[in-house]
Amino acid sequence: MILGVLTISFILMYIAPGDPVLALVGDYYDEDTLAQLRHQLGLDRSAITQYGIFMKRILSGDLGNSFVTQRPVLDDILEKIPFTLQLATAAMFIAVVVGVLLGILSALKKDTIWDKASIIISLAGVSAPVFWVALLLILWVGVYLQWLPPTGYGGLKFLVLPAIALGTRSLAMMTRLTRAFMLDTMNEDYIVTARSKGLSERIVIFKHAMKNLAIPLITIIGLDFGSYMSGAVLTESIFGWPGVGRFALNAIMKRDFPAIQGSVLFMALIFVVVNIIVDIIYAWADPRVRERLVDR
Amino acid sequence: MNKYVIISVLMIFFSCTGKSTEDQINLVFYSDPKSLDPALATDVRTGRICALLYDNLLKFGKSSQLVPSIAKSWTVDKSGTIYTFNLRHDIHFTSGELLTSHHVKSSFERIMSPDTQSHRKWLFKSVDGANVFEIGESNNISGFQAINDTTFIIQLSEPFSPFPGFLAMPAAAIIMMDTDNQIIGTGPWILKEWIHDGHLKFFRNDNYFLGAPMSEYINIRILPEALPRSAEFITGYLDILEIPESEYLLWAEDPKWNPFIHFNNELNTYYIGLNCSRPPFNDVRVRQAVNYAVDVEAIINSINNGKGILASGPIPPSLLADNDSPAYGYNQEMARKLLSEAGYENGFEVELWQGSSRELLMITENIQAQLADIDIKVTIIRNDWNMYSQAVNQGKPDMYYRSWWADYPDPENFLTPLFESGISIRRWTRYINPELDNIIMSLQKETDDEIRLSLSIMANDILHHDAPWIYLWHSQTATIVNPALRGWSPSLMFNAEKYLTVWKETN
Repeated sequence: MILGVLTISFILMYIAPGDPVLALVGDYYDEDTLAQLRHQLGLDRSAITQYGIFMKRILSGDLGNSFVTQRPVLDDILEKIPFTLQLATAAMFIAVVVGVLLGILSALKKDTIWDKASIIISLAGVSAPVFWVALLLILWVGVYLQWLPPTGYGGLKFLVLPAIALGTRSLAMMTRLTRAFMLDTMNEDYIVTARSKGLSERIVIFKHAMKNLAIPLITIIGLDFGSYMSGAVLTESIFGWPGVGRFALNAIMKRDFPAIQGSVLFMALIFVVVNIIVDIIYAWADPRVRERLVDR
Repeated sequence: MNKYVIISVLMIFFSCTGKSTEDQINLVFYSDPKSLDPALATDVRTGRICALLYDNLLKFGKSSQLVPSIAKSWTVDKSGTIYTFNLRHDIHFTSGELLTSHHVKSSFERIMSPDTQSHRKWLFKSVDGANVFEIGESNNISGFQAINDTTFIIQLSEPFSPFPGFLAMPAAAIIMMDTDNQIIGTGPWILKEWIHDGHLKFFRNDNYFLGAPMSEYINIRILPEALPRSAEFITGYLDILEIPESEYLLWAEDPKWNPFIHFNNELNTYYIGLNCSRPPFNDVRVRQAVNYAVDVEAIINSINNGKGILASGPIPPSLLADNDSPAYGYNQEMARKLLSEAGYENGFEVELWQGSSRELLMITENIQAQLADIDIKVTIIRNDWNMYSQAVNQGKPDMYYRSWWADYPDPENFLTPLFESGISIRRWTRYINPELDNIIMSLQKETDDEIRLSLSIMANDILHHDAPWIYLWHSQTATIVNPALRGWSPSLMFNAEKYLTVWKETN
């Protein structure tokens, strides 16, 4: 699958309009410099030769050097992964904790003001574009209230706003999912039984009801976490967060082929890894999946 | 216990939101510099960083003049081909090594070496022996001569008057390589940290030959979006901010901020390039007609908030000692008359290409509407910069919106790279004029300032008449600074500022 992704990305880059060398030389250049650069970067070779060199390099673990910065692409991506991981984890944490709690509150207080507020929040969260949420947070929390720095990175205080902006959509999805699930589940026989045994409502909800919510939640977490890791471009750009998404976008704008290929490879790997982890968690969380695996 | 956890978390979030207490100047770039290697410096950001880390033989002053830097003085012989530089003998690299003329020679030869993959080889193409060195037939450039530690001679193969300006460009920085092949400079600042796409932090070089900078640190943030940059400035996390056009009135009309806005007439020209190689713009009357048809002053007032000088030709007036011809001016009647003479009384259809920015679209849509008034139907094509740039090179657009910013403050920089026939036909408007080529060649060789000025005025007048561009404006930048900042004022050239005497007053 990864090889397929790399091949497609190579073909797309090859046929896409634009000239990487033009992004390097600025406005004032001579034709000799252009020709030399094309030769040095291997862009004057045939597509098949370029593809062969590219695959050979990738298979030997070398992502090459950026056309623009001449730094190794692998070093650049490795530098950015911790930032992206930090942001993705924080966004997911906020989405899960707040989203599930809001969903539970909404279900338990059905048709009250709490429920309506929760529905409005989740509707707004699903509908609002991430850049709009981000700009509102910067203006209100960063500029008017001055509770937190508007942008930047380097500690918990810098993480809050971008994590909220990025996680809002997942939060809304989780609120809706949890609410629907709780409304269905709270009248199930095993919940009634648990209550009749005299267990507290907290234990009934978090120990009995929530267990079955884990599977759909994990599905959403897996999908969203994968996409956060591979391209929170808007959030990263607005908050000046030096993550993988911005790196990939800059590479595309400058036709920096090695950096684009490195980014695509990273994103494909992330989706594969996250899917494997999600499958493992499925097996751990759902005895039926476990049994099927054992049967096989 | 829960109570303590909540209080601790709140303390982490809210107790540390204060600004840095360090003696630090906080700046912002829109995107990362390409590199710290001067050989790769083709963008403004890398040029600005190079100014902090390195020094050149000469440097740009606050305006267009060249001032001594590593070279205490310099002379040029009568033939205009031999430059002799007298170097200071008290400059040390940050590694401690004394700078000599041998470092100058190796720095310049490095630019021309194929191994460096520099994009600025054209700087030294006119130096004697550069061509044989470049193709590997010589192991040094004979035109670079380190006579002794403090005397350096550059011999050109033919006179080229703008050459001293090249020596102040970022790529001509004097560097040395350490044993790990890392670049070391002599500049007033030393890089402490670089998080790519995040920030660059520098600490001052206490041994700088002109004295240590007054501030201890410079921190440059990388923020691509305009609103967050403004938010950072308002909240005190930035000290200098170039005001985006769309926000200008908000700042200018606020009495709290207005006194802290600085204006700078930039050395640039904004224009619409016209493809002169095919109809309709191969007819000079059509080109003049579109110049008359666009009310540039109205655009400057409505979109640029009145900031900018009307352009009458490609060369900014400050480089012509204000002897430029009057701008075309808005005259729809004249535009119709010229179109009619050229046989286009019913107008025509053309494509106007631009980059992807939305702010540009406001300008091009305005021009589109104005040209529609004389029956010229303009279709705007937006593309990302790379595709757009390639299309312009290939001569696809009938018209294209663009600007040219000076690499060095010389009229020649607004002529050769844009209008010299060999370059123009391959890259830009496809405008060919042997008479202009001759003037450009004379301008390159002439050393007398008076004659150079008259040649520049002549070239500007020819281009004004022949109108391969719709001449728009020379822009004016508004920059707002932290009220506590002292010692800063805008510079004409992007790499002139070294932040030596910039500091923040604390209460």
